[in-house]
Amino acid sequence: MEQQQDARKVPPGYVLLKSSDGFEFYITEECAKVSKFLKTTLESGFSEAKTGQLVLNEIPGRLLEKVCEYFYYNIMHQQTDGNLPPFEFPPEIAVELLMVANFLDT
Amino acid sequence: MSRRLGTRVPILPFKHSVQADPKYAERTWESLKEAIKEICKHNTGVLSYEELYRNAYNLVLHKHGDMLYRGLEDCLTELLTQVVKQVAGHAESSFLERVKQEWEWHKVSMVHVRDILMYMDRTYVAAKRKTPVYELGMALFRSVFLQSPLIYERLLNGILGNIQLERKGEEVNRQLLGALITMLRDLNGEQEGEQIFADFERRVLKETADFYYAEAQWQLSICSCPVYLRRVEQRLEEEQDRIRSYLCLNSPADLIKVVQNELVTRHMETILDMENSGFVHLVRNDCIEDLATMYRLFHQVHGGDELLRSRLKKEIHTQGNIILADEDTRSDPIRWVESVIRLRQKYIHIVWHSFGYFTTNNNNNNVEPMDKSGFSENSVDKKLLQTVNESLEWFLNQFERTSEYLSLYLDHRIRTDFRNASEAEMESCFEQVILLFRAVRDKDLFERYYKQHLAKRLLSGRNFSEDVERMFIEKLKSECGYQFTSKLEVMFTDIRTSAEEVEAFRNAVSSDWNGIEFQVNVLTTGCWPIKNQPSARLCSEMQQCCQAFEKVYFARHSGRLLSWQTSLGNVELRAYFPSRRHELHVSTHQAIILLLFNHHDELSFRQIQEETGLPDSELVRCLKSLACGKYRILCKEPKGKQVMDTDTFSYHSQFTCRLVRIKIANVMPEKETEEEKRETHGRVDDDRKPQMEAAIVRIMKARKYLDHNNLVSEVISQLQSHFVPEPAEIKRRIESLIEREFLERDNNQKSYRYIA
Repeated sequence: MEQQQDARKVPPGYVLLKSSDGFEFYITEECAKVSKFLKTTLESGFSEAKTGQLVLNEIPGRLLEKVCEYFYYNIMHQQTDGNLPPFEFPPEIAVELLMVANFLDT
Repeated sequence: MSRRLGTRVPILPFKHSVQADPKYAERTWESLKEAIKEICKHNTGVLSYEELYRNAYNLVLHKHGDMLYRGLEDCLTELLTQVVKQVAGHAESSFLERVKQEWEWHKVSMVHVRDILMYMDRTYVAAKRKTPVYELGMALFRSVFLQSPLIYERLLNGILGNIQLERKGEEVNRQLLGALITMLRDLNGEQEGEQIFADFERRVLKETADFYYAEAQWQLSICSCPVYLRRVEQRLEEEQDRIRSYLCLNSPADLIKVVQNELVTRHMETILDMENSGFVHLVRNDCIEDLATMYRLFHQVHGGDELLRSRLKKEIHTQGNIILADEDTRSDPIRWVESVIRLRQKYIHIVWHSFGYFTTNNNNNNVEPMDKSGFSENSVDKKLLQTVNESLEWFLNQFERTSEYLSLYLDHRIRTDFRNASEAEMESCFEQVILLFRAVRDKDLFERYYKQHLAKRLLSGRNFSEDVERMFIEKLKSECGYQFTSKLEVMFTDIRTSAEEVEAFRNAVSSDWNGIEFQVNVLTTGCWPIKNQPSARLCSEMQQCCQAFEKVYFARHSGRLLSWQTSLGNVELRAYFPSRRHELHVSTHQAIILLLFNHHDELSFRQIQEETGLPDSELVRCLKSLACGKYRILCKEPKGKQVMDTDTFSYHSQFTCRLVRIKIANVMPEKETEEEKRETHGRVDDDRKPQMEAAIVRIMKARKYLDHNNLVSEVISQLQSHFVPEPAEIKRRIESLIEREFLERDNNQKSYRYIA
């Protein structure tokens, strides 16, 4: 269990995501809830909901960065209809990204 | 990562290469199991969601879904079995509370378990078509916890017991009961043996039936009818309230029906027939409110309306028979009609105010029964209204003189009461009469009487107001149509044109005739209910007047025939008695008798008859009114009350009277004698014959060929608005038409053919 909770408080409305290799990402709760996994986590009664911090031991920083980018991309285009600008990512991480998406139920 | 707009493409996750450890699955499951137990102990806060989710994710990913699912099932069953033991140990007082507590905890726990096993729900459960995690939790709660023999009966009896207590008037924890009943409903399974809520509902209904069965027995033995009715209504309201606040059954109507059945349906007869407070008592005392309560309750149950209607009918028949049996009322048309009107108003009032759907909200108790403004049309029970009308109809047609009495009543009101009455009063009186008239079957008989009385009013010239008469005729017209009143209208026209004729006559003959002010009414033959009687011999002055009028009239209208109806005339005589001068109001016949005494002092009956040419009966009547009435202008020898044809008459010189104007009443009873009645009926029957024949011919002309029964029923339906013909009479008319070759019999004797 990840009980190494930092003394730093996560600002209200934000969530802290930690990657397996120690990268930290602060994103808004709204964005985090694009992922059903993160949404359930934050709305359940488990320890993560209290601290607002999530350690994602399966996901390395380079992927988590892309994931967060996608969250914002998704939120931004939620209201637009029609053609969206393509979400760019390097082809070499595509497979890993798919696996992460499956895990996060995004 | 799926595009928001794209369809989801199933992607098989890559196998992680990390887990080669064969024990890995068991170890992971053990940790998950521990976590689930923690969750069920409400220690969720210390667990890491990410870790549990990741573990479950990995297990499913590595094809250990089966193990995970089965393990979950076993684990939950084990946990719930423990809960059963804990709860069963609780005393009665806290038992229900505890069950509710466990249920709420279980729901929260299951949400958490579902959350960590979300990935399994998404993939494994969906693929294998298993029950999703949360629903599995619920089903286990039902089968393991609720349906355990330690819990189930105690729980149900506890809830039922509380409902019972509340019915008996004690306070219960409605919130708790509500929560438990909702729980039972939420946990109701589809399968046989899982339908705990259906079972619960059945038991509630049974319990309710038992309770109210006893309640009805007890209350009926101690309460009067209105008290009992109010009690029932209160009970029903309580049950409604119970249903609204916690007894959320799938079919609340069933519960209400059970209560109604036990309290009302089973005992309707008993309630209605309660001595000194039952239906009859309430109706007789105009207990509008109580009757309204009764109606509301009875209306909702099967058979209640019919029973109320039959009781109302019976009561009206009883009251009607009382009026019919009362000799005094029977013989007095005015009293009779008034009591019938009162009777009608009473029941109509009750129906309007008690037997409607929303009458209690209407505080407008002063509204006249016929004034519908205070009610919406739909609010009154039409069938009950119809019952009242039908019963009255039965009752009115039970009495053979209804038509005559109605007309007499009208005549009386118009002649005496209406001089100072407001239009509204007259209107309402007419309305009442028309309403009764509507129920009378022999409308033509009424027409006949009405015509007679109207003729009398028109010809007497006194107490006559065209507006009033027209008002009623308009009503008749809208009731029975133009044809019905056309002859009546002619009568009015006659009177009006007569005035013009007289005017023309006066202009043509410049001077008065020997001081006689001559007035004639020219009446159209056939439109007036007048027997053509031979004219009496008039005195010479009068004859001159008549001749002069005829001359003027024939000059204006050639080809007409005038026949003088002296029996209908009136004369105003100025008579000089030794005491003083009097003005005598007499009929024409009386006048010619009196005028004889200008030249004779004493005359015998036979002499008078010779001079006047009056028939016996008429002469007796006239002499009786002059010699034996209130004002005795003639003396009779020998004295006596009756006039014999051997009597002699002389001028009464000692006559004194305070009044200057004297009206000599014609001895002519207002009510018909038996003989006259037969005559009127006979004449009505004569009128009916051509009407029936006309109807038969009309029908046959259209149909060409018709069998007997159909023809008879068609004739009846055509003539119904005027009278109800006897089938035997119709048959006679058909035969007469066959004789006159309008129709011919068909070969089979049962049908007729129209001969053009």
